[in-house]
Amino acid sequence: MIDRRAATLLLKRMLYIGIGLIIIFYQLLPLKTTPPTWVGPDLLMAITIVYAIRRPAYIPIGSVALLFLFSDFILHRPPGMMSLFMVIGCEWLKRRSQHLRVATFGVEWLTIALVIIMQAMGSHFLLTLTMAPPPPVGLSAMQAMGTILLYPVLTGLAHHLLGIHKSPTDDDSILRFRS
Amino acid sequence: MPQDLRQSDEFTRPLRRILQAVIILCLLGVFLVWRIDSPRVERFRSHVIDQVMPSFTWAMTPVMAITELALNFQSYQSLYEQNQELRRELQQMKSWKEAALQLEQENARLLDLNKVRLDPDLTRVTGVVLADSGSPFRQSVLLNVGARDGILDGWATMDGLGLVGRISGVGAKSSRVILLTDASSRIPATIEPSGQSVLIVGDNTLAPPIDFIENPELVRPGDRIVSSGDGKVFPPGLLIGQVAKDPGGRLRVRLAADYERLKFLRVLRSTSRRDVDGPGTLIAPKQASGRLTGAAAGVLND
Repeated sequence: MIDRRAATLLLKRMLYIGIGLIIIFYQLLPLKTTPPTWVGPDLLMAITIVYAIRRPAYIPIGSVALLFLFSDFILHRPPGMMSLFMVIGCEWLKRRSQHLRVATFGVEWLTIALVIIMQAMGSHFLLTLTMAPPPPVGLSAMQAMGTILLYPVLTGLAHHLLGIHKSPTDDDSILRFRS
Repeated sequence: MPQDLRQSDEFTRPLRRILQAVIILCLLGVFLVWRIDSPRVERFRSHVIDQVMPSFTWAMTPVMAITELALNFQSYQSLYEQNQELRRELQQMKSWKEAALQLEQENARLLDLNKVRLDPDLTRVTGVVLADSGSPFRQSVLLNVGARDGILDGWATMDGLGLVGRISGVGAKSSRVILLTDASSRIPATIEPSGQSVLIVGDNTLAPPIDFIENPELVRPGDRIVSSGDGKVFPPGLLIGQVAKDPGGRLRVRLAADYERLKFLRVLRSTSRRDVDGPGTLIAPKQASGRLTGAAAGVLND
């Protein structure tokens, strides 16, 4: 029983890493090499935040850190910065996921919006502080807005298509102490 | 059950906190090391990419093919308009073809008269674009040629027609090209009929602005822009594009290279590479008198 549960947990954790790698892979395809006039949402970040609130047991701190550090290196971003903010944001959300489960969706959405905006502002601030050129403000603001707007879509898909509900007595909240 | 959970939480919480703190400090450390010793971390980055990307290519080819098929399928809807437009363009092209043939003959005659030899130093390696930067804030592509093909940092990269960018970051089997449109790209150039030295400054748009123009009134939209070879960054005389004026009145480059389809790129081998051997030597030359002629620069280097 315990073994099967541990195996399922491991499988679900691998699934998150797999989804992340597929997203990174798709972003790397050289479909469009012209500079964009608009920026879409950061899908990997949105999915990770959905996980952090709905299924916190499936994204241990190690997988978030490793996946985002890998994407930092591969996607030519300042290494460690994005992963730093994602680890802090996800751990903060995971600690609150118990409360967010019983809260209304509005509260949940506001919370994740706060996390995403803090991440965008934090990275801008950190880059300015260390005298590295930050990306254009307009584009990063657009990306943060896109990610915030994508969140209800993703949770809706997870709720209706995949049947991932937020129930306070879900068994993965029990699994949580194993992580 | 909730009591169990709370107890076990109390037991593991300090451990979790320590783990969190260690990981956060490690990530912050990686970032700070990148800021302090950027070249080393960038070398590590190109090594990582070098290990990962070639194993991705087998998957990339079919996915690219399917996605491009889907994109092309959309364009079938406007097939009729495209056909009409192509016919019109073909008519214009026929007249241009005549003009080009005449010019080619004239050019061949003139070259013959001049006994011109093209620069034998400029040989090239052709590479295939493997991937782009994957991020909307960085404009770069990854080529499948690297250190084993003799690629070095700083070499110019062209598509069939014009300059595309420069090599920055070389792994054993791959190398990264920073495109002219990237926000960190600065290329010294000359505007052709008036001979003014300018800087092409990438700003994450398709038409990079032209900076440091001495006499803007001498420059007209449509003038050719070629690389100038100032600072020995690039071999001189590579076509970059044409001058264009944007609605705000700012002069920009309409790039000659086709950025919509970057597939095969030529990396030009240049022998007059200038190494950065000390802080500031690349930025401020020993003699701060602006442009140096080739002979003067040679003397200075000796």
